[in-house]
Amino acid sequence: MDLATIWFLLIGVLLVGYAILDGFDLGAGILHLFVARDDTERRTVLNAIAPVWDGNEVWLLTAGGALFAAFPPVYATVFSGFYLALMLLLVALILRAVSLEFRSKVEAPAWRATWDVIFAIGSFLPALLLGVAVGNVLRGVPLDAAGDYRDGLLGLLNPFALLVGLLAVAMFTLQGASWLVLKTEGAIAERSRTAARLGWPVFAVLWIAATLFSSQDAPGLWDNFANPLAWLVPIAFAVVAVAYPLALRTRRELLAFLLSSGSIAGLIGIMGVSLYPNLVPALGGASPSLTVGNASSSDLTLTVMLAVALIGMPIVIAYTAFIYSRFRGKVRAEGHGY
Amino acid sequence: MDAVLLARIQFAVTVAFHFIFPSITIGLALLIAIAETIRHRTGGEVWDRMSAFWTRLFAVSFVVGVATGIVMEFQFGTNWSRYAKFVGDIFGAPLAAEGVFAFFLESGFLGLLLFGRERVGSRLRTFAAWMVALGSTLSAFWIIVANSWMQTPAGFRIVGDKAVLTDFWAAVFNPSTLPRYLHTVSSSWVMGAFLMTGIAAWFLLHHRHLGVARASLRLGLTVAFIGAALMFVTGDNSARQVANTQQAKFAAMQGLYTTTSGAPLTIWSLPPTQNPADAPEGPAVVVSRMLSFLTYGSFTAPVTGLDQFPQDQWAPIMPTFLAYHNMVLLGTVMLGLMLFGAWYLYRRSIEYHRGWLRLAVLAIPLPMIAIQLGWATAEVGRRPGSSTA
Amino acid sequence: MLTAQATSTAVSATDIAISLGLLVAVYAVLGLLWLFLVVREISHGPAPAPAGVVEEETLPLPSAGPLLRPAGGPMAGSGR
Repeated sequence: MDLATIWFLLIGVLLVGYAILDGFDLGAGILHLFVARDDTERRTVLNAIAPVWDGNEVWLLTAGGALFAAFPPVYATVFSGFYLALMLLLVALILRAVSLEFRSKVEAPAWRATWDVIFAIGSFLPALLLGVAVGNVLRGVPLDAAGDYRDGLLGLLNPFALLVGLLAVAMFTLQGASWLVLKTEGAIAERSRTAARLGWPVFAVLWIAATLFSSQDAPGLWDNFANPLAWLVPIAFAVVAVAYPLALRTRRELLAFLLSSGSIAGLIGIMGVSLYPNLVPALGGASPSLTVGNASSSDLTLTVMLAVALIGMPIVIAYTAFIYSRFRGKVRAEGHGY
Repeated sequence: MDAVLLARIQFAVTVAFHFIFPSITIGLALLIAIAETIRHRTGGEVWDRMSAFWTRLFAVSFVVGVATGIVMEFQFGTNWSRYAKFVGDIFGAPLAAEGVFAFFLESGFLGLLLFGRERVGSRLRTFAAWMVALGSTLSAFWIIVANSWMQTPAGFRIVGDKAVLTDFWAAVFNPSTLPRYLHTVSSSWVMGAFLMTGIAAWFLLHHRHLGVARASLRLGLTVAFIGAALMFVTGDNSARQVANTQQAKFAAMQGLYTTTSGAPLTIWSLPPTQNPADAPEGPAVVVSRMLSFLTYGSFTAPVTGLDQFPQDQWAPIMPTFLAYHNMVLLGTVMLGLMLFGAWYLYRRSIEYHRGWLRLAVLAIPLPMIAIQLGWATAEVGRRPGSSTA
Repeated sequence: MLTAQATSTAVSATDIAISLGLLVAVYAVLGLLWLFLVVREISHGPAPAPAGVVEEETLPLPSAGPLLRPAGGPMAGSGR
């Protein structure tokens, strides 16, 4: 396997890490207005994500840095092409971050209600926008002679990408619900369980719809499935996804959360298999697709980065796991927290 | 307005606003770690309440820094995509390393420090405080690596239409990385320490929270004094690096039009203009031959002036000169203030010097202003290039 | 490389004007809120000393050494 392909995989791993971890706190943010009805319940939900959400968001930052380092033209084309969508994403992430921190500082109900709504919007928008961006990358975008995408925000709002955007919202919501079922008890946990039970079929239907639609709208995504081995990934995804409602019904909370995480990994895995070796397929236009072959950095940079990843990430994963283990168990509204 | 100007403004506004918060948190993180260590060693309950108080202020600042930091990273792709394509082979790696080696550490252990007070023992809590301090200090390292590479690129060659890495360590430790890193970190310590000292002084003046205030004043003032002294040492080192590797910028900082042997040090003067013909005649405070001495250790050494460079490669002279000189002026004021403070603290009379305590409150924003001026010097002085490569 | 040649060609001045306006508004709100919360945090101050600990005596300035004035000082009397 060449270095560029290794980095294709590693960026996939970073995105999976981001989607699993920030996925549950984004999902908890999307859901909290519905599953937590009063201030004490809201604080319980926030305490369930408080110690870790910030570290979770670092996965996005690291994935962005790794994309910049390993595939600069992809970083440049996607980030400048999807300009307004990304700016909206950044503003949403800023407001979300501060709403978590600022909410608890003042006790006035109006202050808290305002930040609650901002937190919900700031959680929903990133899920949707990241999904739409990924949908457009999967579908391919027109690239001009300089390798730029120039159709602006409106060009991004095509049916397939919007479908993937909704799929992302459903996926994160399901992940958030699974986390809250695991971390809370009583009324919040029951409402979260209901949300997960209702959310799963929505997620499944959206996934089937996106898959069927892709055969019309982005047939190139099916090319790799000529190889029978490629089918292992969607099969694994299907098994995990089907097992999820069973675990939920039998109240195996940790298993349900792990299965939800597994289905996120599976879904991103399917996207990776469909895309490879492309990173950004060109849809018409004057430039060829950006691929692992033509868009990667030099072998020296990729080697140095691999060393950084191999030294750094095991340490990161070790202490992150340690920190999560310190916060295991159900949370309450009392004590140190929001 | 054209896109380049707007993009520049957006970048400058984002950097200037963002950097307020990391400089506070880098400084406070060290102070909190020291306070936690004292608490762990002595078991003093006042240090416990003190570190909890400063950790809350830390958290409010940290979250704004994180939120605006994501904009910083994404901007290279969104607004400067041709730059990103040109230097991506080199420039992306430090940004990724910053995430892997610094941000995970800082944010992970901050969660433990903030929300795990009852879940972890005293030793682990102290460890977490040091990991937060280490993470914040390392994050400054990697971002300074990236910015210093823009100032004094090294370890690469141009292949076709892009810069390609040839030597990773040469790129990381390019000529300006270490001087600028040390200066940035010591300035951030000063920022955090001035904040702690000023707020403690305010508590003392209003006779509130005396236990925490005294502990904070002692710790803050000590670090502010040492930090301000280090700031001068590292600043001097950084200025000499600029003189050796970025001569056009150095000349603009000093307002030196013509190459001079035994160049004088301008302490204060009317700001120089872009066109030497319009240069103001007026009162100025200069120390003759001192610039040559400070820069090269010789009273007669020649200092390169702007005349050695084509005029279209000059940085905007007046802003560079003003930012640099006012930064040094503020640094001197800060060191002077803390020199008196340290003396009063040593004499154990600091609480009687109410005038000094009032000045310490008023001085809280000074390091921030100086830091912003320092960035302006570094970045405006670098124009017109995004990077000299 | 000149800054003027480093920008994104795909991003128009209008796009940047929109994002700049958005970011400046967000930064202004953030800056003010940050200031508000820091001032609030300071006015609340640290947790009070536990019962039985007299605040003035928790950390007395040591009276040894070249102390110019009597211990306790002018501020010790007017406790709140």
